[in-house]
Amino acid sequence: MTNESNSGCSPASLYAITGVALAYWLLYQLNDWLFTNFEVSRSISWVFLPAALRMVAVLLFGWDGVAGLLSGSIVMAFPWHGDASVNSCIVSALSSMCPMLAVTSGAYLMKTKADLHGLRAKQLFVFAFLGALFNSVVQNLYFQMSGTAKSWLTGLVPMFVGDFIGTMIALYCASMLIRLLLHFAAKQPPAPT
Amino acid sequence: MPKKTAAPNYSQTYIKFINLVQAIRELPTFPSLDGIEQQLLNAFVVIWNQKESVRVVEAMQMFPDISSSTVHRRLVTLRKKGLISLESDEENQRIKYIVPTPLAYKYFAMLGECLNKAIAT
Repeated sequence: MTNESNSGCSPASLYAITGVALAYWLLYQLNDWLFTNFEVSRSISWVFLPAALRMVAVLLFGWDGVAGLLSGSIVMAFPWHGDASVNSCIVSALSSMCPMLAVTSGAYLMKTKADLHGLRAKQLFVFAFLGALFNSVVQNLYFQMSGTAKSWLTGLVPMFVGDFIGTMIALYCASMLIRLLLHFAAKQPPAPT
Repeated sequence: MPKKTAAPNYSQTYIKFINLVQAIRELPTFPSLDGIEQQLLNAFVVIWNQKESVRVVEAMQMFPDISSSTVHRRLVTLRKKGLISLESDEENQRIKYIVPTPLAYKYFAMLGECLNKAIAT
């Protein structure tokens, strides 16, 4: 699969980047509100809903999705660090690049088509798994190298579980919403001709 | 001949979106059933619908083309999947009845809905 995006400074790209950044920020706030008790640290939670958006954004928009995730992450980093430190920018860049790594490798392994034609639910599970794996491993590798984490297990496991469960919860909510919408749409009387 | 320009294909994103929505819709909410399990459930629902009960022994002899041991194995898997449960007879504890679970009713309701949609289209 090749990730074709309307790259450049086209209006569609700007809309995609802004939309993804806004959705990422909103989903982060929702996660913060719903699952405060599941937080391990400020950037690690046992349930992390925005992980689903990372996957969906990259699947749909390719590099524009990555740019949107990066923008959203950097905007969210401001209140934590005040000066948007180099550390938070690196973490933001890693968390936005990992979904691209996961989608590209997943698409290569499963031979997914560029337009996602024939995409199956089980392939979404694989993308979710790879996304959680790459994100948790790469970010924790950085945390170890920069000396911000004390041990592998305390960061890696919750981040992997949080990303995977968060993606599954968000996808199932989306699935139920789609079914509900189709259910109501089916009940609508046909438009008069 | 005019030179083709690489115009950005905005519809590609929409096509991706449609395909992604389709995959999300397919997320499994019911346990997957094999052909024999479906055959068993279909036969049982006809009997349940007539307000009659199905005994395990009867079920094992109900399908001439499926061996009784296979039927028994599938009854175990259907029970594990939460689609049937077994209830003992009040007078004779050795007699077990196969009864539908709420999930089984939901499963048939979903099939009915699919059928209605297919007819409507």
